[in-house]
Amino acid sequence: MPFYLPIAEMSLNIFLLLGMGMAVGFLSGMFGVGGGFLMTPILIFAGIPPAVAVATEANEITAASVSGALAHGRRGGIDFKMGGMLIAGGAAGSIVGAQVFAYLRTVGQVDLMISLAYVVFLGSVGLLMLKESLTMWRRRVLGTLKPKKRDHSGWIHGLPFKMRFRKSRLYISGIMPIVIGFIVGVLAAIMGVGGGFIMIPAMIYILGMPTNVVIGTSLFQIVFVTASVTMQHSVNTQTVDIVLAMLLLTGAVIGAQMGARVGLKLKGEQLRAMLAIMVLTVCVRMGWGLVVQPEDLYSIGQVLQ
Amino acid sequence: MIRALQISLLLAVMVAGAPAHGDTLVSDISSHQIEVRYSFESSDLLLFGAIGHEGGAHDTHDFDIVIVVKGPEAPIIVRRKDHIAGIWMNNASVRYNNVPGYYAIAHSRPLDEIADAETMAAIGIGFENVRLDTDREVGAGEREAFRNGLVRNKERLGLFQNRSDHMYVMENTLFRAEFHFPSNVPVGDYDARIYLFQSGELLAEEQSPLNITKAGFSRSVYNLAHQNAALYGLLAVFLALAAGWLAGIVARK
Repeated sequence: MPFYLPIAEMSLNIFLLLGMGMAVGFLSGMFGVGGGFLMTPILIFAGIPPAVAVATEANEITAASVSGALAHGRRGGIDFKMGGMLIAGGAAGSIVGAQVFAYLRTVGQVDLMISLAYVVFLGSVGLLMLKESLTMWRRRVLGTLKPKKRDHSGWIHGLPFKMRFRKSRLYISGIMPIVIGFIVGVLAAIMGVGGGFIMIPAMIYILGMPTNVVIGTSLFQIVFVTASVTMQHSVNTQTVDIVLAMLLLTGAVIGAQMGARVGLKLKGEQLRAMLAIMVLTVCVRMGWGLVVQPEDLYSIGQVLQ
Repeated sequence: MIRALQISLLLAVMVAGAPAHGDTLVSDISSHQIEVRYSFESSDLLLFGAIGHEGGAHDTHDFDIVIVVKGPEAPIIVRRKDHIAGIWMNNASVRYNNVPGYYAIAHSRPLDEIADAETMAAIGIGFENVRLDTDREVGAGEREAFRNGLVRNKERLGLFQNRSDHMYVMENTLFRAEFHFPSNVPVGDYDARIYLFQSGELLAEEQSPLNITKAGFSRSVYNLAHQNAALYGLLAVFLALAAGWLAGIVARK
């Protein structure tokens, strides 16, 4: 059954859209990730204009993260002060990201930027994850498991404007969370992702936050930053497709429930290795589109001011 | 599924006046409106009519009908990808100021058999005869490559069509043509022109307006997004928050 998407200005089968939402929801439920990095490329491969895919996915991530953020909030798993600093940086980053996005769209380079961002970020994150899960696996098999000491980055403590984050039991400079939030905000705006894949490692390894508040605080900031991205793209480029976002979300909610159940049955490093392979697959597929000669070298686009 | 497009273009080509050739085209359309709704996939427009003959049936041989449906003009940028630093990226571009958003030709025989190239060029029938103004001087070699690239892309989107298999002429009197409108048709004022040829000469020409709009829900969403972007953004965020919150409640049960 074809369904007309008013902003993408094209029709897609409604069951295909729900199915895509479910499939990505399943994987994100299984791996405990947001799924933006999967959904945006899939939308692009399905023929949705890349700019619409990115902006719409930001809108869907807001919806996909809010219930998780609420659940963590009830359990006390959010450091609101830290979250607030991350959001302040993230809001600024989303504004900058959306401006760059809008400019590149007028000069016809936004698709290239989206692909490049995916190749660079997913490539590096995927490789790191794969390396780590392989190391863990080898250690377990060889029986030489020794706890790795957390990397305390000394230079962080040299920064000024120190603040106390009670919930995270940290006394660090306020500059770092703002900078990290800013980077994630830019990525959210140009890649259509929540940015958890950057945010969570940054919280653990750079800020040194305890793991019990990492997920909740990350979700908390994702809700606000993707909401800000949605606003930015709505105002600057009119590329947010509400209808598409709601259809994807419906599928994703159902898929996530099933995925979470399957995920419980798998081992942590198995999951991480699978996730790493998936991340790298998306990265390679995006990169492939850049290096292989396109069927038609000529493309057309609207004239944008 | 709601059939969004229920339209037939009725062309009554009748005897009228007393022109030199004795054959004229007078046309009418039963509906001048196509609405794109949320279920709009694509639609076909049936266009039919008859050729009337002033002086009886003595010269009713070898009629040819060409119908051109043309959509509203808009500027379009054509970009060429070049291989730069190992990747294919948009490089050179040409801006065309007045590209028809839709241009479909239906004809009873191949165009070059109906009339010679000069005649077609003079009337403006055929992709190569669509007038396109560029924003800058383009070299001769590039001009054709970019123009062909534009036509190729438009054809791939189904927005430029040129076909002889959708025109039926019966008994040299009745004709019928189907036009296909994909879901990505631009909205606005369209123009359907019917040309009657005989022995390579244009005998008569008729024109009918046609309008395509986005209607109902999809129109409201599109209009809100473009006319009140901030409100649309707030609505998108609010909907996402509400839907996500609701989904969380449903999922816990």
